[in-house]
Amino acid sequence: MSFSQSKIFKYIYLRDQKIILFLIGGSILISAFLGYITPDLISDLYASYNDGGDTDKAIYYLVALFIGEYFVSVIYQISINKYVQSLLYSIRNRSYSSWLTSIENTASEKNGEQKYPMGEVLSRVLTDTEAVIEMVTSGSFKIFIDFAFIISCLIGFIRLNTISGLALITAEVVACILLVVGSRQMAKVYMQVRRSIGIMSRVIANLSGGFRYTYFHPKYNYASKKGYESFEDFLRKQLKANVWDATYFATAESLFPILLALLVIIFPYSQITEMAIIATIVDLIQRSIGPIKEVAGKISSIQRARTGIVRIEEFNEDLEKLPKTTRYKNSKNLELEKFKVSIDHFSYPLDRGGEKFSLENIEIEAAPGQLIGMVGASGCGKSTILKILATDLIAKDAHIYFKAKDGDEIDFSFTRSENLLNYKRQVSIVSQDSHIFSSSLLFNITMSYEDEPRVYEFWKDVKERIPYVGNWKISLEDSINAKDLSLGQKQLICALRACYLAKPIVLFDEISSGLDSDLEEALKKLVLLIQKNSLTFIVAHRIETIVHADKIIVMDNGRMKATGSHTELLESSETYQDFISQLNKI
Amino acid sequence: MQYRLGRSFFPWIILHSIEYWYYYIGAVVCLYFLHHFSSEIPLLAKNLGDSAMAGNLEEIDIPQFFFLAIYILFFRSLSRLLFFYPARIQQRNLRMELVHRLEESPPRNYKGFNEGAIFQTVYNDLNRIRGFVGFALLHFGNIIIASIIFIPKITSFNSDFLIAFSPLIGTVIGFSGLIFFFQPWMKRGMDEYAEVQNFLLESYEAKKTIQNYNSEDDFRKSFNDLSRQELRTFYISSMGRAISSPLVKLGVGASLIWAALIVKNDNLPASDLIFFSSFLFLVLEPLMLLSWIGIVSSQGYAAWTRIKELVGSLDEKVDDAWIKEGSLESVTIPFWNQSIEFSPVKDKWTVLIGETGCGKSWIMEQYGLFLDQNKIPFSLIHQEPYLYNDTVIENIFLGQEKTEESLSLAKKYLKLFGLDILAKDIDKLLDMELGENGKRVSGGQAKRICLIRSLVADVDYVLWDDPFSSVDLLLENKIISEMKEDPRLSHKTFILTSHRFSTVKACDFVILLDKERGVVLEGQTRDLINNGTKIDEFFAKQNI
Repeated sequence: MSFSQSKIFKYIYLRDQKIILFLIGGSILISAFLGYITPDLISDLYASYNDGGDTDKAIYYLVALFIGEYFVSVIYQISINKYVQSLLYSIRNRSYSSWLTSIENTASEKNGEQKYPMGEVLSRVLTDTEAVIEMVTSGSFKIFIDFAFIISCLIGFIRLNTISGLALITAEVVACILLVVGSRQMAKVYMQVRRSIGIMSRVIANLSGGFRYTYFHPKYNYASKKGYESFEDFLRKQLKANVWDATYFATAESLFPILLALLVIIFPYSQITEMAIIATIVDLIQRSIGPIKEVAGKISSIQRARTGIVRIEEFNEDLEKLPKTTRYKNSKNLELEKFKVSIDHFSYPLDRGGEKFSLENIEIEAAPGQLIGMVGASGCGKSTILKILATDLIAKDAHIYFKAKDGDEIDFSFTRSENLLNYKRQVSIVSQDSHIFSSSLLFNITMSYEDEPRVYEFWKDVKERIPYVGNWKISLEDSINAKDLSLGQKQLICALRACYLAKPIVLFDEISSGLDSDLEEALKKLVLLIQKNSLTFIVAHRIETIVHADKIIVMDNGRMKATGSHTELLESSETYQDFISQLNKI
Repeated sequence: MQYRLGRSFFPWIILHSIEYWYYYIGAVVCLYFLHHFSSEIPLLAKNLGDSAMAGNLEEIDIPQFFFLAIYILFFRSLSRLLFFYPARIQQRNLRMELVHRLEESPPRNYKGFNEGAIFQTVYNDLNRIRGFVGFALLHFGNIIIASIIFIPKITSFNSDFLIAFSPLIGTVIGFSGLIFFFQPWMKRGMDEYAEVQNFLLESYEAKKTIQNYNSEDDFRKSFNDLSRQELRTFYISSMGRAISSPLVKLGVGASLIWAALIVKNDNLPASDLIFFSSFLFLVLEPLMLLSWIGIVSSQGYAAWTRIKELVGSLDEKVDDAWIKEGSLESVTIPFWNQSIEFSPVKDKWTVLIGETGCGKSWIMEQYGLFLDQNKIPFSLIHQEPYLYNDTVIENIFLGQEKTEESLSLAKKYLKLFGLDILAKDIDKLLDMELGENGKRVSGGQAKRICLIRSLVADVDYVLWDDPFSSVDLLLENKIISEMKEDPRLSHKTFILTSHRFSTVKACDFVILLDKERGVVLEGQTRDLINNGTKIDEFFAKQNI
């Protein structure tokens, strides 16, 4: 407890916000002082009626007290909101950039999958801070200053009548404890409700996308069935929670008469004879019921916020341990001289059909400007090789060697991942997994928000060379919505990106079909443009793509069956002949 | 099922209140007793003060306080529950109704509502409706009944005191006004939050690409900008609360001082002030919720308007002339500025070809709608179909009854479509979770799972939009030839679209479409290919 306690202070302390912190602390202190004198002022007012004291003076003091309290509260809330705003800004940005620059698919991770799934990242960076934002918008932080005020009120009152003051404090503390204990129980019920809401919202999101597709299918009412389960579950949990919460607030509300009864019960000991004391106590009880009623709710939201911050900071600490891309910042495009890759063995984990397929003894050597085609039946391993070359899959028994003209060498195996990023930044990938950003076409090609004049020339050039692009009614500034694009158009944009950025190695996973002829022509031309600057590996599904390849690798069941040019292979490799004749037969 | 959605707001509220009238009557009775008993407290407090002065505090009856506490506990919780219950039940029923009606309506009826808008309506808008019936109605009733009971009590005690409540009411109105005033910022904050969220989702999807092309700095900067903007908006929207919530406390103080002056000027006993101050706090609770009643009501009304808009469009009847006039032999489908005769031969395979964007998918959807309206069992799989976040088997059956026979069919097709490599064995495959929109499998695999869906369903017509685009030629060849030999499928009519010569070759009939000219050529495939026709010309460009 104390360990995480000290940590939380480290997490929430912002060094550059000292003035704000000072304002927060100052307003709490002033509020406590105002609370301390409140019982005196109230009792003076009542007393002045009976013993003929100065009522006007008592009223002036009270006016000053109420106005002072107002301004202190406002200053406190504005400052704390400001502080929280800066705090969240810094925490979020830290975790976003830490996550974005971390390399998650290192050798220790299962097969290059990202360590944190989407939901995890989203909930850490965003949802964990949500509880804190909610506290700001609902004014929950007010509870601290309210309590400072009330506690000093009670302390101030002890001076007026010790016995009833102490009794009141004890009773209120007991009430707080009872309510907090009750709310713990309630929190469990609420937790179930929240979980149920989460499930329900996922179910609804899931169903929302499907309506317009499953309408064109026999009506088996999948959506109604799935929906009903989650709506019903949510209803039951929520009704249960409602019973808790209605009782909880009613209990808090019934405190007023109970505390009055207490006053009467202890009368024989407190010996109150002045009305002013009674009036002050009634006033105090009324003032304190509000904060007491809220204490449980606020404590749990403070706790939620605290857990959120601790979780997000743990996420940060976790990320710190991963290698960072920022360490390899100045990686320019190198000029390739020699490239070699060997994969002794690779298989998927068992739950992904691991024992059915493996890659064995793959050796490829290549030179810049070459076009290397990879062919074979589906499941032969050609795409797997491409994914390993892209470092999207982690192959423990693979070795990649990259020699640049200026003598730089990148030599790495996946078990020692230091050079992984240096290599990765020399590679472009064009595949169905390549991302199209919902941003301008310009950004999708340059991958930078900065203005690069070179891209306009590039675009003009491409438009001239490739009729499809020339006819495409799209300009660089147009915003792209991946959903409106066909598979082929998406691949075209990725290919344009690879062509423009001209990395020394380009990996191209051709889409197998669904293209009309103009688009197909366009992609073919683009591959040739890319090849001018880069060593290009292409997984091919059509003969004409590979006919002109410098080298064709024929894959069969995870093994390299043959390599050579199209004409060589037609003569020498039976597998290749088979493959070609089957393609022709269809 | 009695439809509730689609009515206007107020008739619906009335219908709802009538439907659950016994809850609401009960709730109102509880509220009455709640306020009746709690309004006893101020007088008791005053008596305490008087007795203290008179020195006979010990004569005060203690049990009456505890009885009051119990009454308050009982009636307060019961009044809440009686309001909450119908609201929750209603929420579930409305959700069920909406989902059911969405499922039964032709998608073109809600064309203007994308996935996100439908989610908003089913999830958020119905939550707001619940908030309105369960919260706003309750507290509105609460204020009305409280004033019915409190005002006469105060007046009968001392009518001058009534005016002293005005500072409190004034500040409550000020508070509500400020909350309303800052409400748009709240909404803007939510929108900006959604933007940050989308940005994060995109960064997740694209992380590899971003790292690959060294674009981290650009993304960090964008994220920081979005995040700063969002937090700033939240800060401004919270300003309303920071200024306004202590205001009410100030109002309480001002009212107290006003009453203190009345007591002084009228020479009333000081204990009257105790009476007043106790009432002040009783009034405070219902009043504080005034602003929320306003906000929740206006949100509820807006939500209902949105729901009505969606449901209104769902109700539109399909009564296109061409659907009514068409028959299974031949139907005239509108196509761009003209229309085309579509007459697929029963139990045969027909394929539509043509340039991308020429309207093949449109024909498929229209024909699907035609079959649907004529109650002919069919299944259409779109070019980019949707997979539910569920298991493979649920996605294949989609709520259809599973039998031994249909299960073994599903397994057979999973093997045939080359999907068995996805898991260790076939039973594991059936139970494999596919993730959001089938994220855990590739686009091509997702497509194939959907194709199996329509083979397992009991339908006469199978419509496949570009089914084999991500299957390689060898596997496609194998799938088609096995399907052709399957006696179970021989009495189904297949209608496909394709870009591939290989698929066309496998079909019995072919139709070449053009955006401008409609049907360019149609007939038996064996007559029209390798014959120097337009169809050969069409594929010549693809030079396979």
